[in-house]
Amino acid sequence: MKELIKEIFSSIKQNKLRTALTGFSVAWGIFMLMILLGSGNGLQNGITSNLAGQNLNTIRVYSSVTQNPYKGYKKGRIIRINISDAEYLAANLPEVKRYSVYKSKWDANVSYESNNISCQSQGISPDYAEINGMTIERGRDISQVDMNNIRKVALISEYSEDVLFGENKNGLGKKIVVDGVVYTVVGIISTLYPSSYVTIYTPVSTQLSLYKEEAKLGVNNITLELDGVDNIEESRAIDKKIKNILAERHTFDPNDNRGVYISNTIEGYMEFQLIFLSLKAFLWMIGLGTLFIGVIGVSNIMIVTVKERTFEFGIRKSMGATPSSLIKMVLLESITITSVFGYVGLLLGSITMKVVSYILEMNAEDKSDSIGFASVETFKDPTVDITSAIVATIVLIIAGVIAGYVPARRAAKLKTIDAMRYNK
Amino acid sequence: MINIENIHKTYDNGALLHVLKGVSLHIEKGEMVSIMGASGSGKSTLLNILGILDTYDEGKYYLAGKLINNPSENEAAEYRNKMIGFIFQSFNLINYKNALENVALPLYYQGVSRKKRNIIAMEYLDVLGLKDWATHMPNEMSGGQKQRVAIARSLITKPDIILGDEPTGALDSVNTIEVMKLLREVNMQGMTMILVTHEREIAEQTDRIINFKDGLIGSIEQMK
Repeated sequence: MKELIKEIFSSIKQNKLRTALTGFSVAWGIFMLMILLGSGNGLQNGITSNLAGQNLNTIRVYSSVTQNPYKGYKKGRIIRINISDAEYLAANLPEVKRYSVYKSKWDANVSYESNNISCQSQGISPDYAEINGMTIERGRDISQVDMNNIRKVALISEYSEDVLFGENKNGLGKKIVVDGVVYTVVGIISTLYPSSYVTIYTPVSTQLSLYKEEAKLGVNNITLELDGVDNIEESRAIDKKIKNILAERHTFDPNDNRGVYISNTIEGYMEFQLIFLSLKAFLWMIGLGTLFIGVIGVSNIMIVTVKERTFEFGIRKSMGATPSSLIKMVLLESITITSVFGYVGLLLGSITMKVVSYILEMNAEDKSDSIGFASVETFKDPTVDITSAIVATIVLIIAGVIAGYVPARRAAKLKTIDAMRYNK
Repeated sequence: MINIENIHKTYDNGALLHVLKGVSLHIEKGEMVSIMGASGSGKSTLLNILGILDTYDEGKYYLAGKLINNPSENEAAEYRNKMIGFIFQSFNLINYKNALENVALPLYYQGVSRKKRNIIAMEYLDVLGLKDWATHMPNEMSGGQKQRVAIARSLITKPDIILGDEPTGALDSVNTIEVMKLLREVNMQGMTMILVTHEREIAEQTDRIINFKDGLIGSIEQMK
């Protein structure tokens, strides 16, 4: 093999410029493939990181307006969901692992001593924080006891803590005033969602008891965390069951497209995955297309090379070269050109994506520093994973074989005497 | 060493061309034979058949007692590599390989290591007075030097026969004498040699002259 490789390099050296130009097309093809795949990964990583912490196995139910008249009720009736609906659904659907509800009140005024913020006050049930991707950094979550006893306790974000109590000051256990009512801060949360940075969370029972008029409107939504629902069909079946139960409880047409609005994150997540799969397939297609053009270039050059070297092959055959030795020579020459230049492209592509990744990371840190919390990224870590690199390597070898196959066959098919007469 | 019986060869280039019309010939081991004849008389075709570079249509060809009958490409390659050495008028050296690499090339196809084949090739170049030219490329050498490189290459596998197609055709008179002297020396060591030539004075230096005429052996002249 070592001998063959030396033979190949001595023949490649004959046409340095042509080999370099041909190799460039392969290098460019694989470079573009790496850039495209890296970009696809970057986009996916960015969006996936924004979804991090979000529970992707949930169904959310919102109040809505009926579209169909039903059992004497006119259409256009508002169906208001409430805590008892959530409890009923959890009790009657074995797929529901746990649930949460929330009831929001805009423009709550929160103050501590002379500091105050205007924010949203959200009444939540236990488990709301966990189900909705919030982390209790210090203290505790809202508990069932808080709910049952209508306690005036609150969760605030790290950002709100800084604003109300001063930077690096502990707000845990402190009393804050929300719309004139004193609450005790029992937990400090961190969250990825900007809307949560300036929201104060209290037990939903407390919220409903304090704002009686708003309580009549029901809760904003019910979130059901599911267990054992792994595909779109199963999640759609659950949607239907929920609709039927709520339709019966609130007397609206179970076939009404509205009545209640059900948002299914499982379906959305799966569709999201499908979009990325399609995007990746599309990027692979474009990348491979670019690479294929390079391969055609190599193949053409190899055909020209074989033609130019027909006489030489004749001489070699007269000295004992077998057809297989010529095939091996041409194929390996082709594989060598595609592999060497392909790796240059692979390396440059990877380095470029690493540099882009580094710059993005720097930018993200800068943003984070300037606004005080993690920025939302749509493009993150656009590097090419090892699997893609391995696949690209295999693609390169296959490309080399494809590029060399036609010329190699031509070389092998040459009759010795015809080859020796060629160009004479 | 070589025995051919009633060999026929026809080319079909649109029109049929019957080049060899039943040639029979016997060449002893160690003999040095020349083939002469006008262009198109079939002498080079016969040489190509003897060198298993081309096939024949009818008849029988025995090389060292073995019937050579439409061998596969691999079999033909093995025969050429182990039993036959070629010397061509235009030298047929590979232009991007130096003298040493050109001489060593047949050994590459025998699977001999680079180191070993370079040592052997250098010995042959030394014998032919080209040791100092080992690393020179063909385009840096004279016609005589190139032909000596080609001779070294044909000898390196110690073949049973050497086939020369106008081996002195591209050489001046000084180099022609030198090359013929060299070939005779090789022949004296027991190697069978068949040369195709146009030149009477070259042919006269061989043991026998076989005169071709219209695809047949016209006459045979015993010189020694």
